[in-house]
Amino acid sequence: MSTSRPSSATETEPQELERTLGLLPALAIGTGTMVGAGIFVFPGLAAGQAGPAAMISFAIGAVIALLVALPTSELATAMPESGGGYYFVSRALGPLAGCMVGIGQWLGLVFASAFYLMGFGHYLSDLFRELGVGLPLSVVGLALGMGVLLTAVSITGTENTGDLQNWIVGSLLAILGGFLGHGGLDALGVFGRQQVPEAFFPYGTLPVFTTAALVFTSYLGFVQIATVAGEIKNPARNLPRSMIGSVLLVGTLYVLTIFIATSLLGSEKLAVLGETAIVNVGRAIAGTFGAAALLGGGLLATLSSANASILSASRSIYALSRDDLVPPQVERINTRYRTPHVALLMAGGPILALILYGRVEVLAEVASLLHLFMYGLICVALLVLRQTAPEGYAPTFRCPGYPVVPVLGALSSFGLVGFMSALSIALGGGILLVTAGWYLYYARTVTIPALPHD
Amino acid sequence: MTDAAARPSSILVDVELPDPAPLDPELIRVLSSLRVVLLGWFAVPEQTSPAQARDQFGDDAQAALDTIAQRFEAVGADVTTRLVFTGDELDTISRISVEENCDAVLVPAPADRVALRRVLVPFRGLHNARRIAPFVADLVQDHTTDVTLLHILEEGETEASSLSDVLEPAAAMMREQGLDADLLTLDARATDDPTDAIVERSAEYDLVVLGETEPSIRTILFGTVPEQIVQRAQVPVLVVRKGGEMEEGGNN
Repeated sequence: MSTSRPSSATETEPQELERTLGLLPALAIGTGTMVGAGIFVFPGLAAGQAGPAAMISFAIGAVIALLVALPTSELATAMPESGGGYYFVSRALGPLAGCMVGIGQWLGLVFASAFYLMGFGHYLSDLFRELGVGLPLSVVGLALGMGVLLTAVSITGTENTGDLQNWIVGSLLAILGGFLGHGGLDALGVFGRQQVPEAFFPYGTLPVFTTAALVFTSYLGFVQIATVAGEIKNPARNLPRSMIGSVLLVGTLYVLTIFIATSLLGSEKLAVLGETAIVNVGRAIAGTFGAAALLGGGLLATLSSANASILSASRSIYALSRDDLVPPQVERINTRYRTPHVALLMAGGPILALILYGRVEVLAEVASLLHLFMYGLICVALLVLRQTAPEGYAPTFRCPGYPVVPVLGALSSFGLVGFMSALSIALGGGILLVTAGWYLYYARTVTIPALPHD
Repeated sequence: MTDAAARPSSILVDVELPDPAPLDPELIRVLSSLRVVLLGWFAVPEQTSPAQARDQFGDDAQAALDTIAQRFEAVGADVTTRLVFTGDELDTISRISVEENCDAVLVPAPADRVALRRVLVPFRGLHNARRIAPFVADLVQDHTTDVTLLHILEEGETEASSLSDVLEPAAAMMREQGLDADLLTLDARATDDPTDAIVERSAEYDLVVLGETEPSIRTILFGTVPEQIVQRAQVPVLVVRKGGEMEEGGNN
């Protein structure tokens, strides 16, 4: 940094950035971030609220996610840069919207990560109970410990865990494949089991929508693929495939999981079992082995989701800092570990505070709300960019069904927020107001650079 | 790339930035007869966006790379530099070697050499020699370096048949490329373990030039022979790349 050449926007000797993630690692990022919540935390809570119709809640989430994944794919192939949703919205809609989405993305991931860690705490506490070990720590204590550990490892860890993430997602899919395959046949009565008789809408239709709003946290991961768009090989091909593919994959898994869980145990029992209800579904299918497999799966899945969210949150902070929307100190990398320790602490610290707060449903809904705000604006960004067609906007993937898809994507994203609890709406809305306040206080003079073009 | 025939063979030299392992001056001198593609890579952990690392370390890394490039230029080499921030340096090295159409890749040795005067060129059949010959000729243009062609006998071959069918034609190929006849030594060996034999032989030499091999059962089970040699040899190894894989790389 000292006396070498001046760095300018137009470098004569370009310093290249290697793209190291292929299609499978990209899919693993998306799937790994999402699957922790939808299968391993929500089934009990969702069935308790909506009954077997929670299947429809998850399907609604999948449709909304898909309506957003298609526009996001177009934007990501036009701007395969790190930063994801923030990058698209700031380029299309300017610094105020960018600031709200970018800070919202960071805090949304912080809420999501706290939620996943609470899920992890429930699983670990279940494991101790299954093993008959007296528990020195509460669920919150376990979640806090893991939060500290994850943050520390993300700052000091130099071993790349990318391969590990692929293995985790692979083994999760194997566990789920066995669970869904065998459980599905069982639920259909192939093995002579009686289904738990139950009305499909035991609580009416409105809870289907409020549940959809609650469980939407299960669909936050696909945009994280866009957050690392700058590191994905052959982005024109791999970005759309991994984003759309991961939404379709997890959406299918979620709906099947709820179908099996409610068929085998009934939603009342699931509701009592709470966050780790799926472990008992595993026990109903394959005894102790099934329970152990799903308990292990839950530990892995919630941990990988939490970890992926911390890393994405740090990348969101960097994207904001590069555009001068937050102070430049936050993007410092320490020379010893080459990790952005300030940004990682800005993710890890608030996560611990939220774990202390500890209300899983509220954490999930605020995470979803902040993401849905971004999703809606991503769709608006697509509409704006298609209309204004600025120089340098040359997507290689075109969103099908334009303009219906982005219009529906925006309306459904904003609309789903309306089904959340008043507390979540107040918290999420308050956070967005604060982000707007931050823009007025700190970043009012910032101009967002134009799209790079030749 | 189109004028490749007119230019000398090229070698990829990769260095880790911003604190590269020291490069032996003697090695730099020997390689200066080639077109040198100097690849500086900066390892970025997955927690860090490569762009973020470039923002902070780009200038330092560039300066470190330029310093090394100047050492090559000072002894007359034609140097191309590339600087890459990467989460996977092996991906980067193989991508750049394809993009820059490099004929060979340097694998440096742990210890320095006093002088580079003796080059060992082990090879398997003639098709193997055909790829290596022009590269070796370009490498030893100073006409003072001894080159030993080492042929490991395969089943059914004798020393006599190796000499007449493989070594002599290969030597002729080298001479055609401009290699001094009196600096060439021919050697045929029977052995159960080519890797052991080559590693053992390499101790008497300053540099090994090795062809990248086609996959074989052994390759699949134990890693490639060049890989094993590279890991065990105490001298620098230049691995001559297989041709005809230009369309590979890049995608996934």
